[in-house]
Amino acid sequence: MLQFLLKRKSVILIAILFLLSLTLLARDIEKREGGGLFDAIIIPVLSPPLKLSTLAFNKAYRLWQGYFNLVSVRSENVLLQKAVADLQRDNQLLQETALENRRLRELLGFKKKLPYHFIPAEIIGRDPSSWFRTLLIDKGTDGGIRRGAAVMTARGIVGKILEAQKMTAKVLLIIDSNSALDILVQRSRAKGIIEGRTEERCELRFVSKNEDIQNGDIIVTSGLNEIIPKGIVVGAVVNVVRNSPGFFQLVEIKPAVDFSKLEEVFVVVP
Amino acid sequence: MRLYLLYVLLGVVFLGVQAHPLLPFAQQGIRPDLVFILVLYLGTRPEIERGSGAVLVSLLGYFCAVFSGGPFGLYAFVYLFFFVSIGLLKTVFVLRSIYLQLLLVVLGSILEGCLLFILCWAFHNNPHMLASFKNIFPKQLAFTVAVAPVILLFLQYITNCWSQNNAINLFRVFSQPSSVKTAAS
Repeated sequence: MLQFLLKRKSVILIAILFLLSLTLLARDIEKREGGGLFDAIIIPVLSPPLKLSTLAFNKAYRLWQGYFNLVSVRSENVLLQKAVADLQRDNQLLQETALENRRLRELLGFKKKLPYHFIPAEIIGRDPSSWFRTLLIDKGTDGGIRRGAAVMTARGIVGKILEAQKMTAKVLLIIDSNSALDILVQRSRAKGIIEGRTEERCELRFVSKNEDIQNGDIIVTSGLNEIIPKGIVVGAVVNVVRNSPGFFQLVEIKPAVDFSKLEEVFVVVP
Repeated sequence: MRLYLLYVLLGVVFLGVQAHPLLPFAQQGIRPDLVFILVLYLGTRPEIERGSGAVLVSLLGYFCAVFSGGPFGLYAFVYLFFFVSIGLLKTVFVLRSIYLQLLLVVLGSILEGCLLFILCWAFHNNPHMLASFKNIFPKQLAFTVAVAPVILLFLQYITNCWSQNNAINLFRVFSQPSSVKTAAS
């Protein structure tokens, strides 16, 4: 018996490897496990060169851009000063509204909103295949990041943390076909779930045909999941099809974030 | 053993290139699967033993999964499947010619795309994978096939250098005086 097994040890080994990979494959994507050991091997090896080369390229690119941008800096300065004045005025109005909102919430006895912290992180890697849309960032559980936290830029939401290791975390982008996010239409307050489709489009699902949604409407996070704050911009409506079969309308969303130009992100943790 | 370490190192380097955030055209879905080309190449090599090679390609698959958003065993399964399949082909055909290896990359990339799609659909029932498949697959395939000759030539060069160096080392051992050889043994 032992001799029989020893004779076929490579076949047995291959069978075990197949079974192991199939078992891991059958697990839910949202509950990915078993990566810790491989993370511990591969991340310390690949992270420094990826980080260094990205940093060097970005520095060189900014230096190059900075040099050429000097040509138009004067006219841009005038425009920016005007924009700053407008934003300062808007900010004052918003601060007033925020204070009023806080007072009214206290008067009505609403639950206090949790304060959120923004942890800056750099992108050190992307998904090695084109099938999935994920990013690897240089902050992990040691930096206070946890699973499910929102990841955003100044423009809007990027995705959420799929997996957090000690030093790194994996971000599932909203354009990935496995991603789903509760949202609100800012103008009409219609609720739905946004799912990833392609690089440039997401689909808004489960929105009844009676709901008022128009092209150009801004989509924001609903805050239903307490980990992701309410009101982060997701994108804008670019196409609405009401005469589709079924109960729901087909709504296409253009994400606010340009995923091809991501360099740094913020992880929002309560 | 050292040869296997060399291939692990090559796999890690290829993975680093593939997962680099600044890889040109990556955001248009053009991301060549260099590790897959390495797996196919390993499948054709006579010096790679079946059992150890299976462990090696599984390891490369798990390394890929560290960077990927896919299910954890997906790449390990796919790489192992192709390694074993080529192992079976190797018993019938001699796959050392670069033209045959290139043909393997073309056919393998098409089959890899189909297998990834079927596995994701079967295990995770993701109905939107088909849209991604139609959108991404032709671009990824075209780019993988375009870079494959360069990668295969590079791999052949590395393997030749390695075997020559080993031959030199072997020659040195055998050309030493018998007393030294005994001491060395």
